[in-house]
Amino acid sequence: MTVVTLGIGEYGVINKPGDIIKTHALGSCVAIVMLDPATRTVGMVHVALPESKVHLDRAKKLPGYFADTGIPALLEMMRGVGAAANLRKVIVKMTGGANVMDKNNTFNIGKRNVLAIKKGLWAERMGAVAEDVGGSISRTVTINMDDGKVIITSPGREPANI
Amino acid sequence: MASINVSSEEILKSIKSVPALSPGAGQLLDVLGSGQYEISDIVKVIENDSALTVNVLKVVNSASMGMRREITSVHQAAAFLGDTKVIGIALASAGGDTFNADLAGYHGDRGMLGKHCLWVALAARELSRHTDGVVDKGVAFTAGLLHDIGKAVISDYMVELVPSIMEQAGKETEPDHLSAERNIMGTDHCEVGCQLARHWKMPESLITGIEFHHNPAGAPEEFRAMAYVIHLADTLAMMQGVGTGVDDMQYKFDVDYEKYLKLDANALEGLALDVQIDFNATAEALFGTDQETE
Repeated sequence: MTVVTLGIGEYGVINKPGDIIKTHALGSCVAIVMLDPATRTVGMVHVALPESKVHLDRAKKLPGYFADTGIPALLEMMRGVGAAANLRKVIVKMTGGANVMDKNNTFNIGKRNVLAIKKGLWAERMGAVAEDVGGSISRTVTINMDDGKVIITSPGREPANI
Repeated sequence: MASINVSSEEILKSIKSVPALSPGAGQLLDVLGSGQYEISDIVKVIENDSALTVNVLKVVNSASMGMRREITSVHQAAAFLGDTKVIGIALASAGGDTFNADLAGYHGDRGMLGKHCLWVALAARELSRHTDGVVDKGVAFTAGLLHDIGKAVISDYMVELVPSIMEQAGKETEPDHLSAERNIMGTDHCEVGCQLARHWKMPESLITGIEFHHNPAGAPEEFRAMAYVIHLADTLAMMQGVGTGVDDMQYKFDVDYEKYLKLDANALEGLALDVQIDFNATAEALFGTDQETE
């Protein structure tokens, strides 16, 4: 049994019984979860920013950090373990993208992350079937290989799943 | 539920019983808070305090720092790591119990406060470079490291009250977490931190950073730019998921930082990523690697 814990900008895959993949305290970051039932594979990427274009050097080192480079990077990793052959059958879920209280909405990286991910998924002709995004709650996500449930927890709050 | 009626007087009184800082740590804060120092001044203060020296050398020589040979003096450590890292190591050890508080009142884990404060310190140092020289990088770093010390004290009193605080805060509307702390407890982590800083006889620049990090517009003019630096650094830390528990993201954000800091959104995003990379390396040396507990 392996527990894969993703840091910010990291991505990973699990595909053995009992394996767990998780990422802590998303803040304004967004976790994209891809479940491939055909090969029983779960992938996740912890995206921090919407676009890589003004940070190209950084994106080379940490492609998972950005929505536009993170989605292709995760798909490539899933294909590397024989999953995601048919993208129509890959189930996508996402969570995170919280915002601080900002009346003028000038500092809305959370919302911009969510939009950029929708755009990035669209480019692959994919779309999220479930999401728990926004608000001002920092979420932790855990997926257990055995039931494939996407469990969302936050300090002091009841867990939820999407 | 006997202790549910906490009075703010009781909390503020309890600060008086917090042990004083070691003379070396106090001196270090004085020097740093002045913004007028050479790295040799810092080295001298640390070397004169044997506990600080031992801790600095222990951390510097830990495996994660990747030193090729043993570092045997504070002077060498400063040359290899740069002044701010050495300051961080010294202060983290000086306030050891504070930064290692379990934060039960915030549903935080032990170690979260130290990590959050380190992230804010590293970000504040980088942000200070965009203030046209108004904010000294050492003062910014130190104020960042200390900004949330009030949480270490107030947390214990919050354990039973936190459900009421959470009920008020976290709706993306008023009140924010800070106002909710004040509504329910009669005080908040900024006021408590400020009182603790006075108890520890910190210089005014650092006290301001602690007291006004959620309300930078209210800071005295002399230190207002610094308060905005800490405010922005704290917000970035929470957005990157390096917070302290239930209050993550639940604060008002003051965009007037733009009056004091000259950097656009792209530069800010890049800065956050660079700080994260620096943080990963430094946090490992200071606090060790995260261990999976499941």
